[in-house]
Amino acid sequence: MKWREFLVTTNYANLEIVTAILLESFPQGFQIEEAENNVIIKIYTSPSYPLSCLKNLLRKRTSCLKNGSIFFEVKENFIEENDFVKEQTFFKPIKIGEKLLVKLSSKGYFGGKRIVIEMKPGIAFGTGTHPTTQGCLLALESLVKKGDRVLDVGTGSGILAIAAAKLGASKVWAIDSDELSVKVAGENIYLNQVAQKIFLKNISFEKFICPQVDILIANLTKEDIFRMLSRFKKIGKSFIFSGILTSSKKEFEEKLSREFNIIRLISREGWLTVVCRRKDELT
Amino acid sequence: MAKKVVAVIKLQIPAGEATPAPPVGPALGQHGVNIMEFCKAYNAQTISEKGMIVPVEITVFEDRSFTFITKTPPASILLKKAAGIEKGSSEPNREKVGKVTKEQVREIAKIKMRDLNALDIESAIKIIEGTAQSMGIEIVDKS
Repeated sequence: MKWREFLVTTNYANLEIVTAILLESFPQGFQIEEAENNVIIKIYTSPSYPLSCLKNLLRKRTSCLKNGSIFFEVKENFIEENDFVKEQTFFKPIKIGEKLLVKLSSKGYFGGKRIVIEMKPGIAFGTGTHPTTQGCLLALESLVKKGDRVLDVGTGSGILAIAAAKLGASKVWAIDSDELSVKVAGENIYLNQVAQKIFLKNISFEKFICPQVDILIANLTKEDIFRMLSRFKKIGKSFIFSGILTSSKKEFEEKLSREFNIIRLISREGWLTVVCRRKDELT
Repeated sequence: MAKKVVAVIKLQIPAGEATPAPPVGPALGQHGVNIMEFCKAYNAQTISEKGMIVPVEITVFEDRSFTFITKTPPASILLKKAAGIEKGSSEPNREKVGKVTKEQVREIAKIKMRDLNALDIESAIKIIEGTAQSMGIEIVDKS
């Protein structure tokens, strides 16, 4: 994927005005870099967005100002996606629980008897270093039984779906609303040779027609999970919820206790992973 | 000993919706920061303000670990809220889309004071007034 990068230079006095104008056309936001006496606003957009359009926008909106015209300058670059996702060399193989090992595909094999999950280097997210990912992997390790059906909501790099498949699940549905994530997940699924077990789709949970599953994984945020909880309940038996800050443990437990039995809490570095089961599903 | 700081990255992004796509990816990726780790932490901290833009300042250390602090929303977002409008005017000198009172401008200036490059409240007010003008928001004495 290619991106067009706009560099808008202005001075500190006009920063609020310029960002106000830019935010209306670029709601995805931007980066602000300090130069000597100026500030540079970096915007990323699709390659088809013309430079002249941005210039016109700024000119039109600033011409009305009482203190006369304001200073800005606009330049553009094209960047490749690979340019910004630099190889993350700090990533070392990580042993998770009793059975799993996560490593970069470029590094040698240290697995021993463990099940190895390989992740493509150069991609920065969901590599197993995050405490929520680790919590989910730990939970999966003890929960997945041979032949289970699993749904991974917000799959990201695909790591949890891959782990579920490798731990014995017969079918895994992995969905994510972010296009880039799905592309990366696809590459990782292929790399781990579990493509025949995993159904991957770029779709939001709200729009996805869900199958009935044994295990539902949602490593999202507390708010996302609360929002989707009533639908989660209809499609899963056991659940792994993560992305919850330890500080909201009590609130989370209270909300869940009405309809779910909490069977395990995994707490790591300020993040909480919760394993629970539907109350009417006591087997 | 304190860890050495290698970069300070400033972003203005939608609360609770950070993804590895630009602008987050390029900004953090070039310093080797784990992008997803940042997205998770930022989203968990800001999701209660969803719909707002919450600026963030990320400090990157030499071992590629990072910390971040969130800032006050941009003046334009606060102005839109005060005026009760969705969008600024595309032709601010001809078409006015809303009104705010001088008192509201002063309130916003106070909120923004700690993040603005302003020496005193009066110059902060000037910045807020300029921003309002560029959005087609009129400033009136009383509502």
